[in-house]
Amino acid sequence: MAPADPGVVPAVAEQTPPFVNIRLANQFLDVCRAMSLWPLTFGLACCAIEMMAVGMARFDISRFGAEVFRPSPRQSDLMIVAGTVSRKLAPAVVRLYEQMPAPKWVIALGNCAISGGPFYFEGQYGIIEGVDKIIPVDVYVPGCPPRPEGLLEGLFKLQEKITGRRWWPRPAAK
Amino acid sequence: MRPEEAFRTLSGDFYTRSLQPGPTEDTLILNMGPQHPSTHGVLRIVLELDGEYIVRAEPVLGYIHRMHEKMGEVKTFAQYLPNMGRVDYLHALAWNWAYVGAVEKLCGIEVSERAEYIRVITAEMNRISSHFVWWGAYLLDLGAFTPIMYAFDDREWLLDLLQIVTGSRLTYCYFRFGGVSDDVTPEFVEGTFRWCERMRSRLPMYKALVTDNIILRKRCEEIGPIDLDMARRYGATGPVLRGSGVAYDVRRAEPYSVYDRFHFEIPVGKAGGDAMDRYLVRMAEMEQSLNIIEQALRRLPPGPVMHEKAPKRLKAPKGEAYFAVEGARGKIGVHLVSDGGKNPYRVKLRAPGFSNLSLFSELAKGVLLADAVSILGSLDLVIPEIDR
Amino acid sequence: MHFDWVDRLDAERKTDTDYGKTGSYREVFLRTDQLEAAAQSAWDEGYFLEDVSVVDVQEGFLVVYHFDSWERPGRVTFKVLVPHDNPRVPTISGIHSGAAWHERESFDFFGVIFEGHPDLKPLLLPEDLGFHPLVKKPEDRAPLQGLAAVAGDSKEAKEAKEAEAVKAP
Repeated sequence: MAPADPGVVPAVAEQTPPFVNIRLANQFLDVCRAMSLWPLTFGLACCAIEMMAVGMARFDISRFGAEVFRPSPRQSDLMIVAGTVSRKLAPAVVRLYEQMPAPKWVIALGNCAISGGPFYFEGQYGIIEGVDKIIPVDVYVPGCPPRPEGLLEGLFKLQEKITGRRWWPRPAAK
Repeated sequence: MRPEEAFRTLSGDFYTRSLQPGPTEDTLILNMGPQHPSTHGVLRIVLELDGEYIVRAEPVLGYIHRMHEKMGEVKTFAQYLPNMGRVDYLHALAWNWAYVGAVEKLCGIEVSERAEYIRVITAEMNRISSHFVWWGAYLLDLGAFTPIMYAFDDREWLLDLLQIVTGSRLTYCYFRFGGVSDDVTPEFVEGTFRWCERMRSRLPMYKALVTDNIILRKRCEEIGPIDLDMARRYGATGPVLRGSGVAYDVRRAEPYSVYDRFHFEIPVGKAGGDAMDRYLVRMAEMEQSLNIIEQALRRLPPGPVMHEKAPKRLKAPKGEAYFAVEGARGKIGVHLVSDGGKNPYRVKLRAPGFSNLSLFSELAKGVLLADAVSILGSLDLVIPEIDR
Repeated sequence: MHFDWVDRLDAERKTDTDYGKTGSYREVFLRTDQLEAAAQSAWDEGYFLEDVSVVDVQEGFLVVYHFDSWERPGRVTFKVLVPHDNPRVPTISGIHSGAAWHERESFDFFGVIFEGHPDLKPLLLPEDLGFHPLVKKPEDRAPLQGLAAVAGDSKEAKEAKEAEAVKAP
């Protein structure tokens, strides 16, 4: 995690290891989890529209298992932070992250979630410069807003992080 | 412990604690948001409920306050252009237009004619794409999963076209002081004509699938009636106002650019407009936008896309200017004050959603919670525009 | 056009402004005690409040109200100047209910206090921010004269004198 922002208490980031810790079983379960991630509906700003577009017919995230967007953090395991996190919202982000049951992952979608994005200027008073100051982030998807294909590639990267390999073919360069 | 004491010892925050105890003892304080399944953005509404009926509703804003007005003073006039795409990202070109128009008014910059037509075409296409997102999201709130799929699919065609000229899908930064940044290509013109035809065949399908649907009618009719007195007290504009019978559209009231050359109607609802009226107004507006786009494409004049006398380096004189455009949500205004320096002295962004949402606390009194969701959807809110 | 009601207002100064340059047809400088009556006249004439904004100038906070009408479109601007050390303006939210939120926002960003406001608490900023972000540093403030482009008022000295005259007592 990046150095903490003094204004907000960052989330408790430790995830305790599973009770039954057999390596082969864990690998199998990791593949199951990666192929069926349930994102939390956490669209904050412009990137939320691209996140919605990725759930729709053209880009169709359900091909890759992640179309079940749950509104409740208790039922989701992936938090896609799509948009700027303001100082007023930061405690709510931390609380939502802590409410998600482990194992859980975070994708920072868009420049605002990565580093404050276009809203950083000297003397800024309102935003958290990057959601990784308050919660641990697994995958960063840059763009303002990133194309839906960018979010899909971010999802593949996360699946690679969870299972150790990339499962989907790379699109051919033109 | 008496209920009032229990109320005081309950944990809460600044906004829930500042609510005084209500008239009956059995009311429940419920937080809707800031994270909730409705995709309007980060809006929090503190509700005091008596069973399912809302006794009091107070929207709490500021969860996506991104300091746009402060950035207006810190950035130069040109550096501020990308901000405008992000205030209301669904109708980004209208905000582009409001700011660029204010600067052009202040500095006396003229716009080339071809650029005016291109601005009209792209802004109307953006209006349609914004109404698509509104339509899909509203129906998703009401529980229908299919329309949002159709809406986003049609919208993707539209975004492909807009991407050809502007380069972006969502947060456009296409307008410049004196014109637009790039010319339209023949591919765009042809594609847009074909798309308009296709859209005209889709709209009756939406009507048959959704608008005439009995479930939608039951959830929208008689819900959230806004009478003229309320609309004027709160400064409501856009479809929220036109749904109540007032044909007030900035494109006719304060004509800007070349809108006075096109024939288009202003759809209105009936007096005491409810959510269904606002819904029908927006669907009719999509069709009117198609008319404008086709007329503008047919009459697109040749020429440069930036006026010859548009300055390469902007020198803003002292003074102020106010420019208003008709956005998808209502009247967008930019009040620009300059002291002759490099940066604007003060940029005030008048967001239509701000005034439209301010009538929610009065409108939602005594309404069922599910109907309040329907009212919010019919107001077509984009919270980053309200919070700026 | 149809702005006779503006001429009948009890105000410090009323000017015709160039719509093509400023976006407003009339500019009305008011004292704080004249504001409510003027807002009431605007309501009676069928106008609605577009927004309330504040401009931080050397002489104080200039509170700007924009009004427009459905039947007779044409923007009218009210301006009230209050000193920095005592920025108090009466609220108009009793007449134009939408002003409640606009005034809360102005309080958030500038610290202007609207007397009689039912609920002047932070709207957009976190309640514990502790400062008013859009207030400028004294060395960055510009003088009022010339900021408001007033057509037909060419003498800068005349404007400075009138800026003195509209300062709240």
